[in-house]
Amino acid sequence: MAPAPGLPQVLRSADSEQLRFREKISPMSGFLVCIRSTYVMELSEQDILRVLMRSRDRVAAAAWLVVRDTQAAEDVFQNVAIKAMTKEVCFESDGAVLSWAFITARREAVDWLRRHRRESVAPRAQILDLLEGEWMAAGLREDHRAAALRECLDELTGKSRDLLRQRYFNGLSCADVAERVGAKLDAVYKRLSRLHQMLKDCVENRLDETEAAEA
Amino acid sequence: MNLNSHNGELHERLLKYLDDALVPHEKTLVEELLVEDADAREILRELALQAVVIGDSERATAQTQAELRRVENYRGVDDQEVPPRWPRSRVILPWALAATSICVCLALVRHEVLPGQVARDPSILANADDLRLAEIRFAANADLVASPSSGKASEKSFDEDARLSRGFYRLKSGFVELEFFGGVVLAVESPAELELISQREARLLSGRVTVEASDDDTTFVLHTPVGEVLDIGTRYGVYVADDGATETHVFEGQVDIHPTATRESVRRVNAASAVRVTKSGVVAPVPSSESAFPQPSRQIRNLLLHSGFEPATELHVADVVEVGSWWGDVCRIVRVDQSVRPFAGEGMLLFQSTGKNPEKAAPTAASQLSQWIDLTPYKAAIADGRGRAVVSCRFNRVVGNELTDSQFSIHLESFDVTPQEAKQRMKSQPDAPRSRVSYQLLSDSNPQSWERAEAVLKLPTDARYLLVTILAFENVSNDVGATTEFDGHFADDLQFHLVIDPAPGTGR
Repeated sequence: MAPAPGLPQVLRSADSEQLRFREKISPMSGFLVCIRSTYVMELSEQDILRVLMRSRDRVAAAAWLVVRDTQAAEDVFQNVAIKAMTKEVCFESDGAVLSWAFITARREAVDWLRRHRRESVAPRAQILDLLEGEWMAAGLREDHRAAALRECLDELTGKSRDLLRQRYFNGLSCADVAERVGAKLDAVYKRLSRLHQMLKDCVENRLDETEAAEA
Repeated sequence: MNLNSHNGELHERLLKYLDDALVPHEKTLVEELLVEDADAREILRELALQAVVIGDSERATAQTQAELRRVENYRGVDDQEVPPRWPRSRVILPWALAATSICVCLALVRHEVLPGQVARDPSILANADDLRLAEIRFAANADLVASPSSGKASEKSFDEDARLSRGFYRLKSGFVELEFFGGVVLAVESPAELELISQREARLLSGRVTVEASDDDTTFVLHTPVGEVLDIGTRYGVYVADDGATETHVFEGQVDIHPTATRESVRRVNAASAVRVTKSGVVAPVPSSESAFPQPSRQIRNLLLHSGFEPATELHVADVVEVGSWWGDVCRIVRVDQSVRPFAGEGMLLFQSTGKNPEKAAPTAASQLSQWIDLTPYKAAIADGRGRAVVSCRFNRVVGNELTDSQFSIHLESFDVTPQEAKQRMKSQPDAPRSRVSYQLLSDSNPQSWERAEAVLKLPTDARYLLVTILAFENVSNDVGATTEFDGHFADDLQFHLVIDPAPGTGR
């Protein structure tokens, strides 16, 4: 994987296990605590929370690529948030939080598949590594993408919205959607493809407008 | 086809990829492109992001409409279409987690943390109402509702697979099994009322539950009207009577009971014993009764030995009656064979012959490998008709040609006698009715894909031993007398689960 520009050296490895998050059980209390570092400031819980909430959609999207179920992807994110907030781990930078969140989300997602006895159709690990690396390296613009997308969704016609609802909220395959709406399968793929591209264009326009207004 | 040729075409192809609607070689092409092409990955990231945002947005709309309908029904107003609104979870969760983090700090500053007690529990997250704590993994004739005491305007009912957040719940009828995400399973029998507090903490207000921790590291606190019960990696039942008196029956491991009404120190209760604590704090032993409590489902693994077919696994070319040994026709453990790699680990099974002689093909049409499993430790649950044997296996083969065989099979057969007696019975009464099941798989000719087959056998109540067999068939060409019967046929990642279904207790 190409190094993600702007990330600390420690985050540039595709080998997630090398990341510097640590855990230890205190012999005194049994409570999970972080080892105090003498040379690096650790993030506060508010900082961890800020990073997680900012990247919520990206972490959930990464989980969705594994579970292919939007509700389950949201649940995976929630589990990641719980783990982060119960101080089972400590972090030295925003990048470390994000990296840990993606790794944990992937593990949680795989666990979810196992618990629900579903066959994995996830992209292979190499592709997930690349996608997560790119999500981690994404800048400020990416943080606003989901909000812009929500606004764009509100502009869709009822029919378009219904198609997206059936595919992603109800979790139907395109073949099932085609059967329900009485259309050919290829037509459903084409229509979905156009909708996704339309939404992307809408999002880009909104982000451009926001940036122009701020400038 | 050049997938880069047209953006719209690539979009469609990626949609099909996400829909798992591509044939293997198309999928391989797309995955290669995703590795090489950052633009393709950008589209995939966009599609995934859109999927979760659409799902979240629709979920919020559905929740809002459901809430509005309940309120309007209450007022006698007809349903109306309502506009979508900002997802509730997105408003609450940041504040809830922020409040949580403050609570954590305050708790740590103000309270001394006692060894192995509640402070180890993430109930500090209790303020995060938006977070789900448990899932209903089994329900039988159940009517589970969010109790009005949770502050909600009306009762909301939940079905199997629903996820529950913090709050009060009432089981009006039937039986449910809740899986807490902290690693504990709670079997609840109606009538019962309980409060979910965190992933590792609940309060039983009335009724009967069984708590089962999945491992020794899991700590779960069950509050009751008379105190709290802290498990130590165990399985126990708790019954709260109408007058608040609480019985705790320990089935495995130990629990610590902390009565609140007395100054009595912690009471430790061992396996196969039970105590009753009244509201005034009187503690007295009572006879232990496991059957009086609901029984959670259990999944027992590790009964099938050497199932990964790793190097050094011993395969016996003989009839063996010992539990835990692989035996049958000539097979071999290989690492990589004709460019086929193991599905998992470093080794896989190669079917070589349908007989006992590797040099000469037998007239039989299947190469088989078997192992006996001892089910006697679970005979009580099996006798209740709650046992299921679930076996899955991955199969693969070389491309070969038009004469290459393609059929694999998993075969399960249960016996009410020992393997030795079963073997004799199979010889003397080959046509006697037996409890068995077979699952056949016709494999594709793509060595890259390991195809999965699964077989499930509902165990008869008298089952004591199970014979697991995997087979490769000469379904295309039965090579009699030839030196090679199979071109390259493999099995790997064999998994066995003994599933004990949940059941209500007899305590009412």
